[in-house]
Amino acid sequence: LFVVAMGESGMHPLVFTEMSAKVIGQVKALNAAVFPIHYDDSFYDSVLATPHLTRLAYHRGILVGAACCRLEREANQPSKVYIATLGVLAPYRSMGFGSQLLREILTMVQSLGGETVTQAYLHVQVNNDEARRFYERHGFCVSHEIPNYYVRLVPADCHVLVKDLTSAGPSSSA
Amino acid sequence: VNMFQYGAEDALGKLPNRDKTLFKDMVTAYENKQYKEALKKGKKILEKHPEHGETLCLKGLVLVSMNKRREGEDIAKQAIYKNMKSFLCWQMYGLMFMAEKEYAQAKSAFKMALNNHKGNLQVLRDVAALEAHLRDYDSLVETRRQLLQAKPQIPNYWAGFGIANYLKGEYEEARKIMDSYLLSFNESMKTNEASEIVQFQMMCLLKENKISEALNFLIEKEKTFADQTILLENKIKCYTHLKNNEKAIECLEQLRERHPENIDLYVQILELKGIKANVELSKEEEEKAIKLIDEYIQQHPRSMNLKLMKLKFLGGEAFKKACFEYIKAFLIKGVPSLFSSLKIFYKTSSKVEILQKLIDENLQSLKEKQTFEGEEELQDPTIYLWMLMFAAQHYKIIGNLEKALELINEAITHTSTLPELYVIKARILKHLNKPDEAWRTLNEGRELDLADRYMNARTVKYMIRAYSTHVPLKEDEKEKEKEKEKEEKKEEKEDEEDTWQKREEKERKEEEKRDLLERAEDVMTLFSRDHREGQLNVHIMQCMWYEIEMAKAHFLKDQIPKSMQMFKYVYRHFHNIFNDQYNYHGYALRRGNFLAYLDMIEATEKHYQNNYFAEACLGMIKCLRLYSKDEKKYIEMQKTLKMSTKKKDDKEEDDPDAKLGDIDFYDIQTEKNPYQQIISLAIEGLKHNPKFKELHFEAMDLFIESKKWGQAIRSAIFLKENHSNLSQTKECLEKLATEFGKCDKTKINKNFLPEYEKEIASL
Repeated sequence: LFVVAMGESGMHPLVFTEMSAKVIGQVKALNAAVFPIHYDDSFYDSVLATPHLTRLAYHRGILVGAACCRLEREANQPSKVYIATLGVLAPYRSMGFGSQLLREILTMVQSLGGETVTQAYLHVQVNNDEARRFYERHGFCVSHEIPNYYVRLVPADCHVLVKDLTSAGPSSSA
Repeated sequence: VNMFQYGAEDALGKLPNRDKTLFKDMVTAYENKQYKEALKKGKKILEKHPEHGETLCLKGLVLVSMNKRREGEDIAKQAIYKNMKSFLCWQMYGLMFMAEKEYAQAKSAFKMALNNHKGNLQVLRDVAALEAHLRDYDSLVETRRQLLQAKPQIPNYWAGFGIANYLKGEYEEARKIMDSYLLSFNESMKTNEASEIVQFQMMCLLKENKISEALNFLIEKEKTFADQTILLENKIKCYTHLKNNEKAIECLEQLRERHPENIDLYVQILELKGIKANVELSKEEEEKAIKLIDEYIQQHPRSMNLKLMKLKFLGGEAFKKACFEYIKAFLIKGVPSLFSSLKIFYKTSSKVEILQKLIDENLQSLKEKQTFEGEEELQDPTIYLWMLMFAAQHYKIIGNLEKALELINEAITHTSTLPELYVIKARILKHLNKPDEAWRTLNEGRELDLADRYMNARTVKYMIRAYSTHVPLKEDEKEKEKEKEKEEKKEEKEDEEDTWQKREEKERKEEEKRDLLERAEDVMTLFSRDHREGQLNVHIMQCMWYEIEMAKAHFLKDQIPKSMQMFKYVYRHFHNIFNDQYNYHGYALRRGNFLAYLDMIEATEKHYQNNYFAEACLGMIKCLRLYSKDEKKYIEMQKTLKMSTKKKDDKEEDDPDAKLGDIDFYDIQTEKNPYQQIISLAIEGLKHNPKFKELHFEAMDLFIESKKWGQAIRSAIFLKENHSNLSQTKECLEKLATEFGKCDKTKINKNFLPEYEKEIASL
C-alpha cells in the first residue's frame, strides 16, 4: 500500500495500490466505463506480468482511478515509459485524482533502479481536448499525429503526447 | 496413556512371561496407532495360545481401528462369548464400540467389565464420560460417587461429582459438595478456580429459585468473583426479580460503565424507570425517555447506537431532523450498513413516510447541486452514490421493485467498481422472479473482487437456485436447438475474421452450454479446493448450506441418488458434531473449565433442533420413499452411494462414517415392515424439530401408508393446532380419517384402538 501523504482533501487521501489478479475485474469495469476502446484479455495478462508498473487509486474505499504503463527498451536507445491507460471515473473528475495518479506513475518510473527513463508518452484521440489539456498542464507536448490509429473510433486519428523526463525542468502544476 | 494400568497383570496371570511381554507390546503398539505392528505381535501370541481371549479381543479392536469393521467385530464377539468373566476382554470390547461410536453398547460392555472387576478406575472414568455423553445423569451421579470415594484427594473428582448432581437436578447436593471441595482445597486453589466454584454455587441457587438467598450469597462472596460482569448481571437479575428497582438500576449503571455500547442495558434501565419496550407510549413517557437518553448521549457523544435508540422514541419533525443527522453521518463515513440499522423503523408507516421524504428530497438535491437538502456545503460524489444505494434498498423493502432497480442501475452507472451494488441489484432481481439475471449480476460483482469469500458463496447459491428453476427442454424444442447450432456452425466457417470479439463470443457460448450446477461447483472450488485431492472440501468442512442447496437442486431434477447423498452428508454432520463432544467430558474436568462445560451441555440440548437437520431428514425420507417400491432402483442407489464415498486408495477398508445414519437397502426388502428405517428417520426428525411443518406433512403421509396410527395422530394434532388454515392440512386430515376408516381394525392393538377412534373423530 502506498498512501499519498498530502491529498486534495486532507481528510480522505487517495490510497494507491498495485494491480493484482484478484481485483482485475474492478480495473476492467473502470476501463470499460472510461474508455471507448475495449482492452482484451491479452492486455490484462501483460499488465499483470508487471504489476509494479500499475497504480490503482482508491477514494474512500472505492476504486475511482487506474493507470497501466509499459517500459519500452529498444536497442541502443534510452528507455521510454508508455502510458497505456490512465483514467478516472466520470463523477470523480476535476478533484485532482488524475493529477495525483499521473504524478504517482512518473515518480515511480523515475525511481526505478537500473535504468534511466528519459521519456513518457501516450496516445490521445484528436477530438479529446479535455485529455490533451490535462497532459499539457503536466508538461506534455503534442509531438505528432498518427492518422487512422484507432480501428473502430471516429475520428480515427490520434495525437502522440510526449514528456521529457531527464531535465530538472518545470514541475507539473499544482 | 496406559489403558491397562489397573489389574492387567492379574488378568494375564495364565500367560507365560514372554507372552505377557508380547501382549504389553501389542497394547503399546495399539495405543501408538501402529496397527500392523500390533497385529504381528498378536499373531505370535495366538500361534501358541489360539484361544486366548484377551489377545483375540485386542485383535478385534485393532482391526476395527483399521476400519476393517466386520472382521474385527466378529473376532471380538466370539472371544467375548468364550471369556465372559474377563474384565479386560469386556473393556476392550467396550473400546471397540467406542471406535464405532456405538456409545450405548460401549457403556454396557464397560458395565460388564466393572461387574467382573469392581472399582477399576480406568473403566469407571470411561463409563462416566459415556454416561455424560448419553445424558444418563442418574447413573452418572453413581459413577462419579464411586470415583470420588476411591480417590478423594483428586480435586477434579469433587468437581465431577458436583457437576453430575447439578446435571441430575440435585442442586442443593451440588452446593454442599462444592462447599466441601472449597474447604478441602482452599490453600492450593487459584483465584479463577475459586471464582468458578462460587459462580457454580450461585447458579445452583438460581436454579432452585431461591432468589433472595442467591442475592445474599452474591453479596457475601463478592470478592471471590473474578468476573465482574457475571457478578453484576446476576445481581441485576436478582434485584429485578425481587422488585428492588433502585438497587437494580444502581448495578445496571455500574455494568453500563463497563459496556457503554450494549443497548440492552439501556433498554433495561428504561424499563425499570417505567418505560417499557415494544409498547405504545404516551407523550410524557416518550419525552421522559428522550431526556434520559440525551443524558447518556452527553456522556458518549460518538455512540451511534444511542442515537439510533433515541430515534425510536421520536416522531414527526423531530424524527425527521434526527434521522437526517443519523443518515448524514453514515453517508459521510461511507458505511454500507446504513439501511440495515434503520430496518426496524419500517414497521411504523408514519416513519416510513418520513424516510421516503428524506430520501427523495436529498437524492434530488445531491444530484443537481451536490448538497444535502437545505444546505450549502458541497458533498463528495460518494455521498450521492451511498444515497442511491440506500434509496434502492428503501424502495425494495416497501415493494416498489421497478424504482429500486432503476436506482441501483443508476448507482452502477455512476460507480461500476463497487461490489455491494451488484449484491443489492441481484436481490432485487430475485424478488422480481428473474433468477438467471440475478445470478449473472451477482457474478459480475463477484468478479470485481475475487478475494471476497462472501460474494463467492452468494453467487454459488444464486446459481444453484437458478438451476432449479430451469425447465428441461421438451423433445421438439431439443430438435430446434440442434438445428440452430448447425446453422451457427455454418455461419462461423463463412466468416473468417477472427477478432477478439468473435473469440470471446465463442468462449462465452461454450461456457453457456455447460451445466449450471457444474459451473456453480467451479465457482465454489475457488475457495473450497481440497489441496490434496483437487476436489471440493465442502464435506470435510461441513459446509451445510452448500450441501442442502445441491441436494434440493438434484432432487428437483430427479437426480435422486446424488440428492440422497448430499442429504445424508448433512444428517451425518449433525451426528458427528454431537459425538465430537465426547472427549470434552473428561477434558473439561481435568482443566477445571466446568462452567464452559455446563454451557456446552446446555447448548447441545438443542443441537438437533435445526432447520438443516430437519431438511436433511425430510429430504432423505422423500428420496427413499420414491424408491421404496422399486428394488432395482434401490440397489442402483446403494451402488452410487458406496462408490462415491470410497476414496481412491481404499482397498478393503469400509467407509468410516458409513455406520452413522446408514440405511441398508438390502434390509428393507427382507424386513417385515419395509418402512421401518424410513419411519425411524421420520420419528427422529420430528422429535427434535416438532415445529417443522413440511416434515409433518411428509411424515403423516408415511405414517398413514405404513399404518402407524399413533404417530399419524400426533402429527395431525400439531397441524390442526398450528396450521389449520392451510389447504394441505385439511387434505392430510381427511386422508387420515378415510384411511383409518378403511383399514382392518383387527390388526391394531386393542389397547389403543378406542383412543385412536376418539382422536380421529375429534379432528
